[in-house]
Amino acid sequence: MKQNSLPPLIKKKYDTVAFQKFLKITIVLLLIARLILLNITKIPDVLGQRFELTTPITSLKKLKEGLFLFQNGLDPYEGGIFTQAPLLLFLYHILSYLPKLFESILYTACDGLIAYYLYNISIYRKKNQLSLFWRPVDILLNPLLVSTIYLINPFTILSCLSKSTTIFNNLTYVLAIHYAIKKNINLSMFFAALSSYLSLYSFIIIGPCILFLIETKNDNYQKRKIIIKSISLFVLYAVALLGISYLLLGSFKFIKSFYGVILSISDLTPNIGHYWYFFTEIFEHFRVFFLWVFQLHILIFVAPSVLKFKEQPLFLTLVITSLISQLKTYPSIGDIALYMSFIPMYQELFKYMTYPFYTLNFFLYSISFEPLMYNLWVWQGTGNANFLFIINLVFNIAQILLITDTIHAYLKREHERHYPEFRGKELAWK
Amino acid sequence: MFKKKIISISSFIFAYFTIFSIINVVYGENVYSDSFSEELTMKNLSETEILAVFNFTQTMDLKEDNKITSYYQLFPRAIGQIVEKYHVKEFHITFTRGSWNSYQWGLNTLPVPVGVEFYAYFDANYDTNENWSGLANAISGVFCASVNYIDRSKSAKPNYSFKPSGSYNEEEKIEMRYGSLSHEGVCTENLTPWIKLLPCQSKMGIAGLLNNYKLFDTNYYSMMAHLIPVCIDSECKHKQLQLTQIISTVFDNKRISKNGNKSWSTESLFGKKISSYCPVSTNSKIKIELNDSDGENNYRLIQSPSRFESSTKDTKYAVYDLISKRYDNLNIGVNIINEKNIQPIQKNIGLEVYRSQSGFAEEYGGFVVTMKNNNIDKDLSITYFDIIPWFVNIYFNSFKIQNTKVKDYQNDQYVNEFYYEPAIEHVNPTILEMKMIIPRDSTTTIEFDFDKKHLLYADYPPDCARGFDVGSAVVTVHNITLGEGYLYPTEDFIRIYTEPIVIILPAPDFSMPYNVITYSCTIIALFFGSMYNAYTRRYIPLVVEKEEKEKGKNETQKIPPPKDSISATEKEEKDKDK
Repeated sequence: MKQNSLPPLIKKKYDTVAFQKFLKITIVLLLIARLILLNITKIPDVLGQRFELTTPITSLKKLKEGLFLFQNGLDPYEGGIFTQAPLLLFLYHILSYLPKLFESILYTACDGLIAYYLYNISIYRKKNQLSLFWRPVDILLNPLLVSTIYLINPFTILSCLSKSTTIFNNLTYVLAIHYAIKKNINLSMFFAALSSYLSLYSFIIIGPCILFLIETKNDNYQKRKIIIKSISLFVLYAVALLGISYLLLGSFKFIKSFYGVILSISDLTPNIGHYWYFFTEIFEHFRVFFLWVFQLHILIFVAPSVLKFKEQPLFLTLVITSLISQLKTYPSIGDIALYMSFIPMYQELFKYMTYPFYTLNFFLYSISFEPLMYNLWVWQGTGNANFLFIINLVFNIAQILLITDTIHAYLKREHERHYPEFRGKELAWK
Repeated sequence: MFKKKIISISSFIFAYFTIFSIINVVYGENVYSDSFSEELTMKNLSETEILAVFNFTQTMDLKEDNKITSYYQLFPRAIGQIVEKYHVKEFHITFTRGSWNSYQWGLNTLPVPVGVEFYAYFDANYDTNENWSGLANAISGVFCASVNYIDRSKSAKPNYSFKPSGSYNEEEKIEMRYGSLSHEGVCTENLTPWIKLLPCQSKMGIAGLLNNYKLFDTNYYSMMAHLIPVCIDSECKHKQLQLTQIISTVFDNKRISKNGNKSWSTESLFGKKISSYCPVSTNSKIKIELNDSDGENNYRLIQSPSRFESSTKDTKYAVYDLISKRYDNLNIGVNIINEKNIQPIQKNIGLEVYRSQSGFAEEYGGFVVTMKNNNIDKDLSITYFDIIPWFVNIYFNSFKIQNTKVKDYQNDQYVNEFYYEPAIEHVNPTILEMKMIIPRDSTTTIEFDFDKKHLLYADYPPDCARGFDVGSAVVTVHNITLGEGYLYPTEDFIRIYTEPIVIILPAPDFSMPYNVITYSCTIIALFFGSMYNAYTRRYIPLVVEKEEKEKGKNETQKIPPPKDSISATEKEEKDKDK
């Protein structure tokens, strides 16, 4: 491809110095607002009990109960209330000796760090855009804008204010990708292992991480070496983390209580997914069969996704993050906020989407009905569980629409990238 | 010939047993003697309310190794066999309908919770869990009650609240299990098998007064059976089993009597006269407690009693001894002369206990237990024991124990023991036991929060909109001296039960499980379909013929259409052909 045959690079005027300054101020204000709301108001207590924001495996209220049992010399996993990772217990054990302000600072810092690493990932994406191979570009990415969008996203704000422990998973997840881009196998695999340790399904990101790591290597032997090295490192770190947890608690009971709950869906507290209701209503003799079906469902997408998007590991990350958040057994708004923060990195895809306005409205409509339906069922008693279940289904459909539309937009754009002479022409598909 | 042989054999056997039993009786070594005694105590609780307590006690001597003989005289075989099979040392079961109004009636000397309370002690050398479920099932059959619903997930092992009522040697190891069912309704189907355990059943004696229609038309009805081992000798080498069956019931004379007459008698209360005493009983009497104050006679007895008895200064009993046969086919009762003077003797230990639920929706809530010590001169040492079923998640870190008088209440001086066992779904309930001291004239409050669990479809009972029952909490008041009227007067504690609580849990919809399954699977399929579609799709340029001509062949060569596809140009050609 000759460079002069490409259409010129279009720069929108939104990375002016003034705009960048505005974004920086916004970011600082958003972080300060978080700190104040977390530390002074009672909002975290209210939001911490909302089913949309916290699940049994991310609720701070339940973590505190486990911590209380742990500090009083009881087995935190005995009662079945506390079903979270032991290292979080350790973290909060340290935090409990510090003033309350540190907890607020921790949550604010986590959100700030996620925004910072998203900024770094966006810089990688911008370099990609500017590289010869990836041109033409309609819109040049503004990395600071990605961070700002992450921080201003109401889903992120709500999730942070609810003090849900999803934020630690999100941070480690973003870190794993960041270090993979930096070609740091060790740290990348450590954070991938930590993320999987905190929320089981994150282990799928070793796929995109490996693709990032072997991106610049042409030699097959080297590629294979990196793949083997990273997988073995991942396993090593995962085993080490479980080992540390064992040393901390003195038993492997947490595996059954924590990963067991994730895999067997034994806690039927409502969340924004639909598995909780499915497994409430399912007949006992079908339960095991459907558990296998649903748990394998998330795995069957991994290999096709990796094969389909192996050229652009960042887009693969977006797809896989959205897969995890839609198919994990205890999804929450925090998981959705994570994959939504990757979408602004692909701003040029927006114009290729078939129905972005429709999808956006679908999202807003269904998410605003969630608390209403829950209220009707549990608080008013005028509705029943089906109301919430149906709106969860609608919300799921909205998510499916969003991700498939994004993938289609990506495919259309890929086509145009390969055949620049057909830009702006109608496309048929097969 | 053959017949003769049978007769001769049978006569031989008969003769053998006759001689053998005569020898036994004469030498008296291996003879086991069962005994039976019956008693009815009646008194006015208030102007119009009458308490009638039936007490039937049977005993049976045990063998030297404390095992049950296979030789039953009076003692019910149904109980004996159960006791033997499940290695039961003692058991207590109570069935109660209605609640004791302690503000008007004073302290209940036979304290019971609403519904069924069931606890037992077992020989610790055997598997107690197995014996406990076996006993619950067997007792359930004996009393036609749903006692078998007290499984492991509803029972507990209290540490401080309960002490065995029977007497044990030091080397005997016993283990206890406790359970209750507050939802259990008590009615005639429980009374009939209960009466069957009596040697005369309801044919003769005081049990003849037990009339189903009258007994269940009362304000309060409590029926119980207590089995304990009792020492015969001082060294406790020989023991006997003592089965005490009690019915305690409160009649509302205002409702029963036809013309507003406050007087009452066995005939007006039970609709029957005394028939006779039970011939096998060693003790058969009816006692009427007369609360005559200041030497005035408020009552006129219809029949003159055998004798008067008085245990303490205030209480005086008119005793009718039925064994004398003087009162057969007569009506025993009182005419009330001075109804204004009839006031219940307010025996009370001065402790009020309430347990209530806080929160208002089906998401989370809490319990508040208030214990008020009204005594001005006495600190009370109590144990609070509560079994909370596993369908609520109790937050241990939300526990608040406060006292109105003592600021720093939550320390070892006041809360001596604190036992907490978290619930495990389907396995065991939350068990809470606190030994504490309530200072005089103060109120202690215990507060804790819970989350309501979302259960499996099959875990909900058919009437789940009614709510889920949480049984009564047990408050044991220690270091109390008991008197007349108590089940085991030598004990030094008394129990107070709180009201049971109903918790409403969020329920799924039960009408459409198949719809839920199909809808969920549709979403899964939709997800799979959309992703499959996106992953297998290939985009190709839609090349219109005219443009193709204008641009020349070079570009079309650049993008060869996939082999198996029908290009747009081909499509148009086909359309033209049509």
